[in-house]
Amino acid sequence: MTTERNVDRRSFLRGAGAVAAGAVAAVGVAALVSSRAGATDQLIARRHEGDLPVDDPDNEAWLSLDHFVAPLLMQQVAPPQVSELAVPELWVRALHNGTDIAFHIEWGDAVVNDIEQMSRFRDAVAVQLPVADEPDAAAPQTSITMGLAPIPAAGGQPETPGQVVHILHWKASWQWDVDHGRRTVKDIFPNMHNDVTPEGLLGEANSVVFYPGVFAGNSLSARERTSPIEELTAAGFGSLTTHEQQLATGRGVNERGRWRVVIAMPMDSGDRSKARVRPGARAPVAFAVWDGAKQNRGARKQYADWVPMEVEA
Amino acid sequence: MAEVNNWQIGRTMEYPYPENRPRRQIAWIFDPNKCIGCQTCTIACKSTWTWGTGQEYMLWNNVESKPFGFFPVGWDVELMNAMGPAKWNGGRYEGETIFEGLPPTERVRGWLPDEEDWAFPNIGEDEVSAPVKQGDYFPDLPHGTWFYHLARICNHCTYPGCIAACPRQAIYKRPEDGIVLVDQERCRGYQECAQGCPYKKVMFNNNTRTTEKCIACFPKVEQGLQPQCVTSCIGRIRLAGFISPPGQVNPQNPIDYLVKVRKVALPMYPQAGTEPNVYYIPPIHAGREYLRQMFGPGVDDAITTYANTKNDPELLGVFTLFGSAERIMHRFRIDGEIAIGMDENGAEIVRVPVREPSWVRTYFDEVRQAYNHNIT
Ligand code: SF4
Ligand code: SF4
Repeated sequence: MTTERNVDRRSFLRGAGAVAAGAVAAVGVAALVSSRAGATDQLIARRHEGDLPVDDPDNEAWLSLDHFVAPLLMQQVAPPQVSELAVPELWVRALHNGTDIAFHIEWGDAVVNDIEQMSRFRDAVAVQLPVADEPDAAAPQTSITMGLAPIPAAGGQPETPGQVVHILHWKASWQWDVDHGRRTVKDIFPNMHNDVTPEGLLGEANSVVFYPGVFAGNSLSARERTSPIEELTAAGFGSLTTHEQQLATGRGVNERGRWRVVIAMPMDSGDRSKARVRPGARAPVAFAVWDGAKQNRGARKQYADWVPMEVEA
Repeated sequence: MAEVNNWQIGRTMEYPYPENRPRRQIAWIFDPNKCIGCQTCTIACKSTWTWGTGQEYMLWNNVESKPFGFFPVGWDVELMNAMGPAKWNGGRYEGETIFEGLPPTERVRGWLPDEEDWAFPNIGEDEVSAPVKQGDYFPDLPHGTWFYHLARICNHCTYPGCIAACPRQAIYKRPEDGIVLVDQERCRGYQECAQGCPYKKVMFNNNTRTTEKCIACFPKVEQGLQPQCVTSCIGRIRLAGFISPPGQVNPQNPIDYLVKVRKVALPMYPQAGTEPNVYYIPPIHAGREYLRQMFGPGVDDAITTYANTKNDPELLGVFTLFGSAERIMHRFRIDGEIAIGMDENGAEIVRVPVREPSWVRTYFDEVRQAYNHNIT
């Protein structure tokens, strides 16, 4: 981790960077709040006629809704953890049209971190829902630890079934990929020069073996990006897995020092390993947020405990 | 936290997972006394594994000049800052490893290099430990002013810091040979491993957004061959093979012989607690205090043994087997003036004369009426 000591010792390398960061922070002081409506203490997914404004976080349909304030906690259940609360709260709004449900999540973050590279991490936000046959009843029982792994039968005790959660994860870096085309090394380091590259020598298809993440089919390494949101499931810390079926859509923008991110999914994808949400019922949801500037990533995050969301009939 | 046995620090220690040694553990001997800093190993590795975009800064193998060279910048200075001076009581390390005495937020005591730290692979190259004054002359060991080349790869540690740091078990140690690999399917790019590895040998791929590390050329090892950095080494400073588990010694195995019998090759920064599996012969001309910090309490005995190699036919014989064959040597034998390397079944791989014929010219050449320089 970067410490004061590091800064002192290598300040000769970093003087210019510090000046640049200061300038960005100064801009952040002028952060404004986008809301036109007030706060509410109940998260309600309002029914919306027609298509949801999935690609438009500034849409009047969103900003005219009251926002639910989800207070955030530092992830301090298991290491690695954060020791600083980088984001104290999220503002959440929700809409559905009977087919799809969308969340509008807003928080203050003056410094945009949308690059993933060595020693740099991106801003991100996630929505979590339990995967259950009767989702309405799942809230109090589902662990906040991203679900639970099943406990195998032992000592005459039968197996304790695990708890699976469905996670929709928006990443600022993926948003950049979607908006501008996948970010390459040239975008991060414009003066980078390669004499010879595997793709230059062997062609795109044959060179894949030299890109292990791509070869392994890792979602992070995907060459084509159509959505900034990844759908995953988990059964306990450390078990996060990309779901085979990727249907989530959305968009995030950062304006005046605030991220506003829309995350949408089908209310019933037809896949039993994903969460389902029914009009007229309650659905528990939880949230997590990462501040790339504070080296948040993975378990180093802020999270909001389960919220009983009412889904309008 | 489990309690595991770490023979390099002479005690048990805390580690997140129970002791689970592989069936075989790959190990290397590096001899910095012979390294010429030519970086052939670095290029052999780079041109084999890391020539893709996103890997530009990655040197799974690098060679840095000690004391002022490091890649990334200051990696071992940071480690020493974090750990403090090593407290040894004989062969027992009394201080805390990177897995012990941690704040609740961490799985490993680590630090993450900055982007700029990866930008100077040859910083400090060939810089000496102190200025050489006019007329300085170093007839004795150690030299008053020194530097040495430290070749570095992933240590394929028995208790890897990278594995301890990863919150999702995306890094694993192969049971068949102890090689440590990042599962490219499971990696989520958190770089906790890059933060947790004390040797800074896990690196983030800026293109694929996952971390990658030295793979010990496992496709070669699976065929019984030594890795690229070993077989390409111009100075013949490297030997790769398998080390027996603690408590077992096979004196015919060249790795065991050098590490366990003669104790001439030592782990680097053993106090970190990862039980690294690259063993170094301390450079005999370098400052002893510095070497003791880097290679632990066995330095003085190792140097005494090494400095006497010319009178030690068996030791000399093993050293001549370095860089003599591509196949992994599981056993060796000295037959008079011939050193013989053998495979697992005792079949001969290579035989090398322990002493090459040499001729020393007279200082003054009577025929040409000129003085000779004997430069080799
Ligand atoms: S040297 Fe670092 S990367 Fe290699 S096994 Fe050890 S801790 Fe992991
Ligand atoms: S190839 Fe051998 S001699 Fe050359 S730098 Fe590498 S380890 Fe040293």
